[in-house]
Amino acid sequence: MRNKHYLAFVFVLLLISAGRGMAQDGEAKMSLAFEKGDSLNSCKVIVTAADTPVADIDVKLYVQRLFSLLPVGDAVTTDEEGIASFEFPSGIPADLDGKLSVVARIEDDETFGNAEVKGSINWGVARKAQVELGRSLSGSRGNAPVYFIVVSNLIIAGIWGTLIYVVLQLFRIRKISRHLQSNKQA
Amino acid sequence: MSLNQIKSDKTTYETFTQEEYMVMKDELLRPVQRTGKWGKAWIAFLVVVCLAGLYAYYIQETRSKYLTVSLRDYTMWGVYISNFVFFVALSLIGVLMSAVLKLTHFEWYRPLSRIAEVIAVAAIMLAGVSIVAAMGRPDRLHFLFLHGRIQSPIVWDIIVIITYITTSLILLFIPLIPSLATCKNHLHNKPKWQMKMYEWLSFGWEGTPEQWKILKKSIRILTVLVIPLGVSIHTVTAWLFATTLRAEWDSTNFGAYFVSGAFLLGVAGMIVAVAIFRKAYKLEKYLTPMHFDKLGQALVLMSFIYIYFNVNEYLVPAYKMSSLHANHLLNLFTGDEAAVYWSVVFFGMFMPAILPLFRSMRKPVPLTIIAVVVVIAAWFKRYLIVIPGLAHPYLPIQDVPESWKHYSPSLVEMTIVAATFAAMMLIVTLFSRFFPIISVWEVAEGKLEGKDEIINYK
Repeated sequence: MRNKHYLAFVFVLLLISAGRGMAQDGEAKMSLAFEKGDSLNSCKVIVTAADTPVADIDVKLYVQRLFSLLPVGDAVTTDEEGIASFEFPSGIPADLDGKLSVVARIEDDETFGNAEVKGSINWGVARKAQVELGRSLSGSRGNAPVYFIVVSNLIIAGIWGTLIYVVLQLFRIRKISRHLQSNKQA
Repeated sequence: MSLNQIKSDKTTYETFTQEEYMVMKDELLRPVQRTGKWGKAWIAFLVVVCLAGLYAYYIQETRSKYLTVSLRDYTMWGVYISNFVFFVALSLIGVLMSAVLKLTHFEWYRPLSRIAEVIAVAAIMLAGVSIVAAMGRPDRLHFLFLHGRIQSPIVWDIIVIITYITTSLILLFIPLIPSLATCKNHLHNKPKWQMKMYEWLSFGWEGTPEQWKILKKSIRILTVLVIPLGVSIHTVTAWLFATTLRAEWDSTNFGAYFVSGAFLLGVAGMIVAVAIFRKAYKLEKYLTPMHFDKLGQALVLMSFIYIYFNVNEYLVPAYKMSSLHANHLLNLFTGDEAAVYWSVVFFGMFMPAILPLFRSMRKPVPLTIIAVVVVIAAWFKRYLIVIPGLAHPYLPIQDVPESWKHYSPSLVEMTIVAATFAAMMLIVTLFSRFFPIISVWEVAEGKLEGKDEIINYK
């Protein structure tokens, strides 16, 4: 009797999990389209499943930063054509070419689970190469002030030159001994 | 010079070389000739502590440093760096006790110079080891040479440490050459390799007038060179702190304050070393109560100089008590660190400034006790410079784990610190077991009472 209950319980569990699995089996396909407007740029995320547009699904848009994703506005719900439109802000700092990595995501949706699409667009503010302030104490290795390099190297060379001179004197001591020994032998 | 004078000079000279010199040579070579069971036990003890330190370092480098050491975001320099500052300070012993006394013709330096120089070499080596122990990524040490900026005090420190270590080694080695010839000629029953080492290192020393001339000239050059270098090394160490944006280190006084502290530590360290060698190697005839008397006087002088710089360092900012300094100063004067701070002031400065003023306190035993206390206080002084300074940043410490707020060194850290001390003493001990710790020829030369004769100290 107890076994029957147990089997029924397992069966129900299997049904539920199969149902959930089937519910998420529908794979969402996402694509990105960038539209340049006169005053405003927009980014459209198109969501389809089995070649049919998916409506009423929340899509989030992000821009890739160094360590994490920066959300671009709130989540937008797709319309009947499966399109979620985002106003794309200007002035986001980008790499040297002004290129931004854009990521659109469906997150934890009941039907489609997680889905993601990545793209890149040239709408960011190009970061300028670090401006060298010329030679200074706070400059890089190659930009030390000339007087600093000259003075420090002169001091180092002076001291090490003296040390080398003293060490060479040691060999003169040995030379004198060898000379003495060869004289004795002669 | 009259003929009689020349004759009498010659008599003194010959009597000395014939008899006294041979006795002196035997006495000073005795510790090299034979190591007793206590000597061996001491070396074994030091080796064990060093091995414990090596094991602790292995643990530190192979496990999470968050677990093995107590260093955190605020106190990121702990006992390793205070130990580094202590050893750099101790290394100035060579400058003061050998170079300065030699150049100013204080004849009593003669039996002390080699002891001072070998301690200087050992101390500066262990200062380097302390730095490596403190590094988060010691495998990137070579980056300092590959990518270091000449404008950075860290790079100055590396340059000056390497230069000072080299100079100290050469300055230790050159006056050793005649002693090496003495070892080669007079030691017996020693392993072949050891005799070969003496032969090789003595550079074929024959003691000819020309060789003496070269030797003395080289020593003179290095003696002059080592003084600014020694002052530089400790000033640069002070600048590592003074060029950092911290209220308590923001001081133009820092270089002189560090150097004066190093000289006080140097004198105290010298007293302890002299007392140990005197007793352990039975060198009472050479390291006399006169040396303790003179070193006691030097201790008083250095203590007063150090007190002067401490007044400048602490009381001037305390008079203003600006909000930037109050945080740190009140912690030292009346806060968590007050007990250590006032102990250091009393035992590390006032006691050595006052007690040796009395002649009875400049006798070997009381002066050695005072010196040991000063050395311990000097270590804690460096602790007080490094750690409370880091624990009181400009912005109050908030919302951080409890372990970030207070620093107390871990067992691993203390084992490594203990091992650095053991290693320093091991280097000095081993040196004194292979080479005469008192320079035979320098002492002999001193006994000639200023006469210029070059005798063949072989």
